Amino acid sequence: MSDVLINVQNLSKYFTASRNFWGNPTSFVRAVENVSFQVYKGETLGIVGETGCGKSTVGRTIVGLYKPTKGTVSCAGEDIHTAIHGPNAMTMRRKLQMIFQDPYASLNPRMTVGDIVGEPLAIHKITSGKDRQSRVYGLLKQVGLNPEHASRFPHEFSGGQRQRIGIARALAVNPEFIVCDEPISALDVSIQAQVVNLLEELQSEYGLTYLFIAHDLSMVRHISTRVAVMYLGALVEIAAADELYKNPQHPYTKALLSAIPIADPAAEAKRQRIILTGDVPSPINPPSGCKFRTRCRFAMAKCAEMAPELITGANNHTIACHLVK
Amino acid sequence: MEKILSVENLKVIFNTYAGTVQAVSDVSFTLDKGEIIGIVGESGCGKSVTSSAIMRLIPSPPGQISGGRIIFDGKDLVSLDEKALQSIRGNQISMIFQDPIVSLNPVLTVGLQLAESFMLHQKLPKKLALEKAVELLKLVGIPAPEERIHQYPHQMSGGMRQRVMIAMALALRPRILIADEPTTALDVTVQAQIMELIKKLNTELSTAVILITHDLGVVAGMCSRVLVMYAGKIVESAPARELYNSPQHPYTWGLLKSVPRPDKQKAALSSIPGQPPDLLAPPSGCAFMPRCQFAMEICKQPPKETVGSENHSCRCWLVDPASPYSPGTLFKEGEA
Repeated sequence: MSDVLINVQNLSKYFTASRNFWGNPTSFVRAVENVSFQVYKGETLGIVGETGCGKSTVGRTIVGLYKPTKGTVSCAGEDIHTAIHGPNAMTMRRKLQMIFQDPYASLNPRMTVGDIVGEPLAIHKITSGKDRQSRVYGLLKQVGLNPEHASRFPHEFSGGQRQRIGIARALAVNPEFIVCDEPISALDVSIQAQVVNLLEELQSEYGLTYLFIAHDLSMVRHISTRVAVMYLGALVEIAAADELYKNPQHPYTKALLSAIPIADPAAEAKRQRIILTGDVPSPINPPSGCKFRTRCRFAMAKCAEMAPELITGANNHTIACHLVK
Repeated sequence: MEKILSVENLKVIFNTYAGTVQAVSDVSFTLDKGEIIGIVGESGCGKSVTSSAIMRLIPSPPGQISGGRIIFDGKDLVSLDEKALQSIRGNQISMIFQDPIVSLNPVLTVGLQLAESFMLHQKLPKKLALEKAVELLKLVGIPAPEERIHQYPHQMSGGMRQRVMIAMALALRPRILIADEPTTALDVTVQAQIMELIKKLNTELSTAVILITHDLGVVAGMCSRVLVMYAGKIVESAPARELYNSPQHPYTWGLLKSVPRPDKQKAALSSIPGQPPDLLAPPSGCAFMPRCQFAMEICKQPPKETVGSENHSCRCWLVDPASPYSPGTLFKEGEA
């Protein structure tokens, strides 16, 4: 448990928002700013936050779909972004795989399921011919599909089944680390549980490490070992799942958790809601200092002057807030 | 309580190339004045079609209300002509849709879209109507409404747009508000704001609300009564507490178990195997039978509705008076 698999150091990712006449960028969307965290081997790190907080950008930068503006990401000590632009790119890419949010958009409609799942095996030159076929059948069985499904096309499957195909594709190259970017948010409630259970089974079987990105906070608590909370591109709190949900420290985490609806009228009637006012500020022009201060009930003068640093306290509970000493 | 809406044996079908889809079959419920009821179910279970049918917004063709009655104010909405409907839609019954960006006109300012209903239904001049629009935006908690009415929908955030939709729906103080997945496209913190707003408006203006959602959590905090739909039928309906504490239908029980509770310790998540049926060729008996772990021989015949204590009605052979089982004990054994 204590081995660090993925180490993210001071990661920032800016996207160009506008350019001047000469094509030089004039303003940036600060999608992720100065984020550092570690993912330990065999664990599931959940990332939660609202739309536009940069959680998907973090995931995509880790697997190398985006190049970081600043900072580094390393996998087992090796820098990911140097590796994937070097001669051993394929070995690094094999270690990192991704499951996407929309199972309708992430599968090529013109390829059969067998081709979709077999493609990574071909690209990475892992198996060929009969071997590849039996490996594809094996993968489909593992994710709860039939080998006969290999000759069908994605449109013949339901959302939950398509997400299983996406999972089989990610598993094909025996990765160490999988980024699950909102893998269940497009699915129905009764199907979500099926996919989450499948991910958990695969994790215990292969010792996989997950980065689980979602906005469904109850599901994140269920699947994650530790949970990180992001707001407007910054990491505000990170702690073990139970610790975070029982003992949230950051005002934003508290508000976020109090907003989760609970499927029990008695529990709903008892709880106190913290309703945040206003909207999330624009990431093009974020507030100075602490980014949450414009909506924070406890904002002080200090919050506007300097950004709080991440401080690790008892129970490995890390918070970025001036209120917490 | 005074009944304001009653839906009786509603049937809606869609004629498609592949055959006739029975989107809603035999749905009956009533809505009291000032009450909030919830309709829960997965995609394709007919919950949105039911609400569109109440508004008479089913596109025809291919859709068709093929049976049943919708009684509002002593009138049957199913048989009313378009002109009479227009005086009810927006005025007496209004609706909030799931996706505010699709439902708002992108080339008109928000103010004009809000003022339109006053100009049409109350024949107010534009200037007065715009003043009323400002009041409405204030009511739903949008800051600086005088400036906001001159803005276009794309200049607003998702939560703000949904507030505009709510303002629009409430413009003429309707007696019934139908909210069709009002917060599905929004974040939890914004969802909490919007739900709080709907609750506040319900108490202040005593508007009755039909809340349609797939999220059992949202319904728990809002509704006095909950209807669970599956494959075009209401499979269970009961007062909220009763439904959550002692579900009777295996589908409701399965749904409740497949949502993790954020306030409880982690427990294994159980899922309902399989997927919802194809409504082109629905199973002849109970539609949930192929996925039900308690399925019996008799389930091949359609179950009747059984009404128990506390107005708890359920469409399942397990609760039939002749059934030797009790769902409560079966579910307890299933959990162990």
